[in-house]
Amino acid sequence: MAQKIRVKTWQAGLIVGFLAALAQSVYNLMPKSVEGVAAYKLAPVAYGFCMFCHVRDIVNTFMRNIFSFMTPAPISAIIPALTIVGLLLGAYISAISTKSFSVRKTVNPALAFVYGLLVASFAAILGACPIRIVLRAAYIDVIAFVGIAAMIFGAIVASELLLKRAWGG
Amino acid sequence: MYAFAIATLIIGFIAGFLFQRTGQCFIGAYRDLYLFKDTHLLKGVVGFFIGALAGYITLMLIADPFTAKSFPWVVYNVLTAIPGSIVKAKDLLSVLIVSTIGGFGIGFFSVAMGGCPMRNHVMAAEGNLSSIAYVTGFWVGIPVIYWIIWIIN
Repeated sequence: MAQKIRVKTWQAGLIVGFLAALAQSVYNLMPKSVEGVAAYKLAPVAYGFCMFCHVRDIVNTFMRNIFSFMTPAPISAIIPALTIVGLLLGAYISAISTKSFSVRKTVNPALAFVYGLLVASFAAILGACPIRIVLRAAYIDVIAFVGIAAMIFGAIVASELLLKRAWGG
Repeated sequence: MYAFAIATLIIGFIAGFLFQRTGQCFIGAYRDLYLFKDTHLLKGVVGFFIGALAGYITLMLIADPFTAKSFPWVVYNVLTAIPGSIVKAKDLLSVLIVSTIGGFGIGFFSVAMGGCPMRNHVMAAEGNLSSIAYVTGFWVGIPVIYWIIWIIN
């Protein structure tokens, strides 16, 4: 049954984008004031789906005594955003049901670890991951379009330098 | 209150399920466009943009005007960025510089790795050991960069 679900890229994007935008509204399902802070101030706007921000919020929720220097969205002090957990679960179940789960290796894991560190750092500087920057652009934030343009430029430079010489993977 | 956790869990599940099927990558889209003139993944990004735009317009007009009260952002906040950056840039020039550096770094190292953070989380769930290493680095990197910024300040 599950194998028969065929989605086109634009359909998947449309559905997730729409849900991610509506997720903004969920914040207002909470009490109007939590610990003296008005509910609408607890999470930034265009916050429905972000790899960087939501990972940070999960880390903050469960380890804020250790990492007290982090400044996440205030909402995560009360309840975590479980987007990433859902993402991993959904991808795992989809991979199992299409029989595409296989243990393999593409990039040297030590190098991949460093790439993870670097991408997390640059995402912190930008304040968005490649997904949230599109959400921000859809919220008509002009700076986000600059971020997307810089991202495309970075991708082009890396394609020229790395992929055309078949290095880095 | 639990509505927030449950809603984000469900959205993440749907996103993981659909994006695993389509192999969606938000950096691979630009890479494929440049290298192969292939718009397969770009359609997903454009679809995501249009879906999000439709979602925000729905909120503003019908569902929840209170939540979308600062939409469109450019009308109410002109040329400021939506908060989230670790660097507290004040004027327009520094915001532009910060966005350019951040965007360039993400684009460059994501292409080097072969996918955006979301794609690598999906591939980690598919059993790719490199992506599991990447995801570990990503999760470790976030407290580390906050710690570095905290030390600098």
